[in-house]
Amino acid sequence: MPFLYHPPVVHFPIALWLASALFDVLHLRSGDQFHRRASQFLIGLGLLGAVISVVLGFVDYRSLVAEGIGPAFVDRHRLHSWFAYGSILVYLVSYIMRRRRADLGRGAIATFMVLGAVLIAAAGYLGDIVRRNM
Amino acid sequence: MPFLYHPFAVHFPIALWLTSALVDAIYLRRGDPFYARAARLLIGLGLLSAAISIALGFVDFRALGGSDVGRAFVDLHRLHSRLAYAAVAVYLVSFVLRWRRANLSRGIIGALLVLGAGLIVSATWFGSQIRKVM
Repeated sequence: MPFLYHPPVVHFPIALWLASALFDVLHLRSGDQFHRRASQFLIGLGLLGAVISVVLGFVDYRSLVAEGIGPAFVDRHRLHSWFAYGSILVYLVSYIMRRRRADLGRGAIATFMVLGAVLIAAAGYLGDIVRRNM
Repeated sequence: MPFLYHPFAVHFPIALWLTSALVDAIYLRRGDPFYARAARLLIGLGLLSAAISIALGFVDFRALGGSDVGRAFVDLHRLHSRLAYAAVAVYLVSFVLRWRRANLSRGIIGALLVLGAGLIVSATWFGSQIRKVM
């Protein structure tokens, strides 16, 4: 099997986005602006990590398909990718709205938090299934 | 192969500690206290998740002990574990020092940043090698 670049990078969007959910909960409870800024910072860094992860995922995908890895991998990878793209979209919208509106409502913060966390947790779980069945 | 719990938990100490290094570097350049507090919180969350990762690593190790994992697995796991324990020790010292002394010197912050990041990157590298011999 070739060296895979995606697995060492993917720690960042998963952990940073899920940690941002914790900071969002702390902000919603205490109102402390530190937690709001920390959450926004982690979402931004997670987006950067996600873009690098997606690019490196395609690098790995191309070399694995060239080696004839088979249709089961392709199908599992496709499902994992849709969840990953969905989470990027949610966190991108969340990040832009947080930057534009300092008074973003608690409902909007909580909705983005839950939706994003569910999508990235599902993408992470499906990614592990892809890895285990290679 | 049994279901493995460790890979899901290990995203957190790796990403949170390496992000704390970036946050420390920004703090050392700008002096904004937001980054000092954020680095301390990321290190603390990383310690909590590292303890969970180690516990789940032992759960996985025992489950895999039932199957014939081989000598290479055991040797790589030992090396990975020692580096991971050393990383935990460094970040624990870093966290306690930051907690006790608000005016921790730039030299100490820089030294702990480099040492901790070097250890967790090495532990991660050997962890990825373990998966290849499973």
